[in-house]
Amino acid sequence: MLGFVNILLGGIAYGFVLFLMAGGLSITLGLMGFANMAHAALAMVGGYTAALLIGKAGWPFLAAVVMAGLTAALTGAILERTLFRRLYQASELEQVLLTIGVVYAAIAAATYLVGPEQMAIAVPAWLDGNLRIGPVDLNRYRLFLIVTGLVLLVSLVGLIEHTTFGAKIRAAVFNRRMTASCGIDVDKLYALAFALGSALAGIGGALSVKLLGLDPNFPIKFLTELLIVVSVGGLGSLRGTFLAAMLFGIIDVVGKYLLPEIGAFIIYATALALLTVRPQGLVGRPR
Amino acid sequence: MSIWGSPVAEPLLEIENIDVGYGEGVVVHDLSLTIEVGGSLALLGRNGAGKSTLILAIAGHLAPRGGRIRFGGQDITTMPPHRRCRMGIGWVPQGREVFAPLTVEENLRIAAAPGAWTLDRVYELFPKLKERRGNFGNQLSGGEQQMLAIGRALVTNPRLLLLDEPLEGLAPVVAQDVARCITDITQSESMAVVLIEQHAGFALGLARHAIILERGLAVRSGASGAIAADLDALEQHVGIRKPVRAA
Ligand SMILES: Nc1ncnc2c1ncn2[C@@H]1O[C@H](COP(=O)(O)OP(=O)(O)OP(=O)(O)O)[C@@H](O)[C@H]1O
Ligand SMILES: [Mg+2]
Repeated sequence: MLGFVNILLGGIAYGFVLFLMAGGLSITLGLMGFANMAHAALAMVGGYTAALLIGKAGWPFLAAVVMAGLTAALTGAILERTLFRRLYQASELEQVLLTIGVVYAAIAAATYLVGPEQMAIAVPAWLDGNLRIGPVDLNRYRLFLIVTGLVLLVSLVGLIEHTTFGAKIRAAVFNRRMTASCGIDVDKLYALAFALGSALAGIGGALSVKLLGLDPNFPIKFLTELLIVVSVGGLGSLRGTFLAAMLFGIIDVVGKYLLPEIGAFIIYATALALLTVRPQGLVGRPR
Repeated sequence: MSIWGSPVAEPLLEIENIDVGYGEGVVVHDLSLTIEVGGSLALLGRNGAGKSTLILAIAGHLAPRGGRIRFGGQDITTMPPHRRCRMGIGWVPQGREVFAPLTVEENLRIAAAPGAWTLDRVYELFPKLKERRGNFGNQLSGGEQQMLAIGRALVTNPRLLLLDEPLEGLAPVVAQDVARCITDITQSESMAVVLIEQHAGFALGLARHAIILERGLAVRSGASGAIAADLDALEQHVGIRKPVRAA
């Protein structure tokens, strides 16, 4: 029973990592209508940045995670300015083709620069081992993921729903032309939103290394998971993305524990079933 | 080189021989006009005459095929819409285009720029909006949406306000209310106004000058009083029997 509590904790922690990585994709895909298959590559940029800064440069853990977010944001912003923005008006197929190309370029670049082997990440002592709360030993790192994820979730929802910046994004998504005529540089706004989503992915990527490992195939391995989370959550809904990330995080971890033979298959079956019943996603409106 | 008014008045908007259209088709042909600082112009014409098309070109949403647009002496022919807004062109579109997923307050806040028109001043002008400041755009009546669309343009603190059929689809009482506010704004400000309105009487009563468009061509232009007195021209080009209340 006590073991199960930690399994569940692991599922929730994985759910938060999925949310951080998928949240940005939900913004770009759902709000801006841009199908960015390279989103998990931005998470990988964050993962490598953190792992290398800690392993090779001796940076403290938290500083490296923040830097991972900044590096991913910068990478995302550069990609958006140079490549992606040209395809905002293009068909989804063209967007997918271009960004899949970026995925393979990222895999090749990571293999060339860092090498094909698995990266490990060292976490500081205060995040290692278990924390004893009453009768249960809780894994410190998983607790840390949950707390960090909650803080970022609340900040993000607050940013989109309660600030002028968030209102501008909602306005631009609803009516781009009218937003421009309010004096808002929509291009710049989208670049900022894109960088924000990339920063989340970078932080998610950095925090995921200890949980999921990291190698150059990361952007492909997790692309499916992220797409499932975003589509089951409902395009453009952060709340939906969060619910779906939690659901799949828990189902995946607990499923693999209880039914090891078919564990890896469970999330796909669940996604299929959910999308059959609610094609618009958990929170999305019917289209 | 004002085509009307006194030669000393400073031009604010100068349009020279523009052609505007959609895709291949040209809708507005070879149009020229000048509006002075603080001036006012009524744009009249039947449905489909090209009035909104001309306004879209001024706001920057349609690129003219030929010709030139200058604002405050600066060539803005290729300037993007957000910069035109920041220079002082405020647009109240036909159909209002209020942001439905934003509250009334957010609709105003995202557009606000420093100047005499603040959110509080808009709330003073339209107390209804203040009552509904927490409501979302899609929870407003037609009249409230129109007030919001006007307020949203005002808080950008424009030097030129483009009003595209602001009374369209409003119940008569509400329309009167909105019309009174528009009159107040235009008379007490140094803000220039372009007004498109099916109620030709209201438009001619408000604006000093008027242009009648027919199939994209300016067929009449001049002082509003003269145009209002020319009932034949109004009937022929605008299709009203009698100006309701001319200046
Ligand atoms: N988006 C568009 N694409 C193609 N043609 C358009 C478009 N919008 C308007 N038109 C055409 O341009 C012409 C002028 O339209 P416009 O909207 O400027 O007329 P208007 O004078 O504003 O009419 P109304 O009084 O009905 O608003 C019409 O023939 C219309 O069909
Ligand atoms: Mg029109």
